[in-house]
Amino acid sequence: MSKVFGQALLDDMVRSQSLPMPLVKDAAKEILAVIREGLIQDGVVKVSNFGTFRLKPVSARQGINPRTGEAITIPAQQRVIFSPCKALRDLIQPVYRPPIPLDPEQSSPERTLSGAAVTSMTPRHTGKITNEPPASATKKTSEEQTSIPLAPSHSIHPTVPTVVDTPQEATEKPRPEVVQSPTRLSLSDNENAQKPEPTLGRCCEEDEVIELRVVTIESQQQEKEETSEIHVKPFDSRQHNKKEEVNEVHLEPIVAPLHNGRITEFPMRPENHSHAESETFPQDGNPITGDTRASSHRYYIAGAATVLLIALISAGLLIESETDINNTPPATVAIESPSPAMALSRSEPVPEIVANDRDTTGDTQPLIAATPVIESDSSLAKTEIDDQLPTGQTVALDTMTGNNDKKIAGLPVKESSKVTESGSPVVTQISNYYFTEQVHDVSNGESLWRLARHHYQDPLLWPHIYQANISTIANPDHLLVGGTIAIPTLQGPPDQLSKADRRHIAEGYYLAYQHYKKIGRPDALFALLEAKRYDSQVVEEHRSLMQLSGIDEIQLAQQQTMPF
Amino acid sequence: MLLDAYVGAIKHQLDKKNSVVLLNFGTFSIKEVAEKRSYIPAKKSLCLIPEHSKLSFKASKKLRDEVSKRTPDE
Repeated sequence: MSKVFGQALLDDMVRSQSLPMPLVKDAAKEILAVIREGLIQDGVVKVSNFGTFRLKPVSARQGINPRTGEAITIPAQQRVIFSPCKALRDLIQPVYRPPIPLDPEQSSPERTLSGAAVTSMTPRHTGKITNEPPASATKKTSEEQTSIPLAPSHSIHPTVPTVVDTPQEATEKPRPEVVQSPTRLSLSDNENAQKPEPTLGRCCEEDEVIELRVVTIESQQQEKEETSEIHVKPFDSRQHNKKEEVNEVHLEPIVAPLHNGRITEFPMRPENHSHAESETFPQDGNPITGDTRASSHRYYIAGAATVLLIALISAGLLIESETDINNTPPATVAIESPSPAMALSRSEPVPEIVANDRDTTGDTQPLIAATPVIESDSSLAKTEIDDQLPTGQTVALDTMTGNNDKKIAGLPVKESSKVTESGSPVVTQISNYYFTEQVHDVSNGESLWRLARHHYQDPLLWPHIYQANISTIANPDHLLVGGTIAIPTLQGPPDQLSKADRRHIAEGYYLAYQHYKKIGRPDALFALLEAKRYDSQVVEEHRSLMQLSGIDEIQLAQQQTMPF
Repeated sequence: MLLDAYVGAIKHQLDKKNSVVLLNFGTFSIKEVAEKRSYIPAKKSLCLIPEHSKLSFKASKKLRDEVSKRTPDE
């Protein structure tokens, strides 16, 4: 029964797992930090195969300073409760011995007696602040103590201040065991009553709904951008186009992939799903994050379905117009979502025209006149979409400096939607960012991993910060306390990163790889794998410089991702 | 991997009936609970709970203070 301290644990780990000491040390520190942060933020932390930490609020109570004997109030606080998982319980108490019921005769008369006792005691319960035995417990106590002298004494007491009451009661009780049992019961009761998890789950779902809106609005904006570039000319009316559309929809499967390939944003989505899934695995400290991601998949799938629908319909148009590609996106937008901004962006004399009529007009003229021109533009349009994001970033920074702190995806959405309604020319430029740039002062105990987790909600994005601060951070595993770090903008949510972000992160991972290679860390290759996962191009570009060994190459090709 | 190793190390010590003290975090210790009588709501009767040992965790003062001060964001 001796005490073991943290260092001894680390020694154990080093011995049994043959891991390097600094790594183990960092890991231990990080694990405890994660639990602590989780407790502070969520109130519940579940460690698989170990148990659950949770918080239990304790209200303020009266206490006595044992040294001076004076009464003091102990302020309300949160108590950390650890409930071990089954495996750990079995380890500590290998043989479970069930409680043995006592004679029913013994219990039945007690209950009748206790009924009176409980009623007499209830006012005291409400008045007193802490550690009350619950009703069930009082039953027992009253039965054990011949109960008749007790009941009158209680009925007198309610007027007396509570503090005086407790010691008396304790002295009256014949058995200390009985006093213990009620407190235990009350603990379990309160735990049951607390149940923090369901409420958290609900919050998360609400968040997801907000995120879904981000997706759709983003895609709409994208298409709006395209319309604003391409459609310079006013439209004439053509009716039969609409009918043909309907007919052509059957043919879509052939063209649909083509269309998907053209819009830069969409093809990235399936990859992102797989990322998010693999990311939940390494962290595993917090079950809730896993849930939120799972639910977010559902919504993204729903979003993807709508996108596909748009793609199909536009594909139908594609076949019809054969050569002209660029005309289709605006047409689909008009069908799917006639938004007020669209109406404003078009200079049409009669705003009441139905959306369908408008878009059918869209195809005729360019088909005849603009085909050669727009053909050449199609490649431009692609690049323009990419280019617009950075420029939009600056605009967004200007307009959104006021609310740097808002990290929830829902807030920027509201803003941008306001702007779209006002119909200013900025509309096409602003895309909502998941996180806007911040300057952060490093304080004790912080790491890039933790900063990324806190600001981006995904610790695996830490190289994003590293890459932005490469000149000031010598070692990515250790930040200097008191230094400042720029936490760069993240354009999309972590499971839907923009292309620029992915590249940025991949470069960060590559830099981390270089650093780890230099100091000879055995798991340096994982950094490279991560880099490849985010943007394989970065790895290919630097391949000549790296001089990988044969085994490394194989591992890289296999692309197993490991948490690290 | 590392988490498992760490948890495994703690378990190993607890298995040996040692208490594990993690600085600035808390203490895991094993407590022997004596035989006692208790009312079990599920059975609606008084039961004799045999002696057993259980794991207890006591948060360190620092952790307790941090957690008590917490302001749940959002």
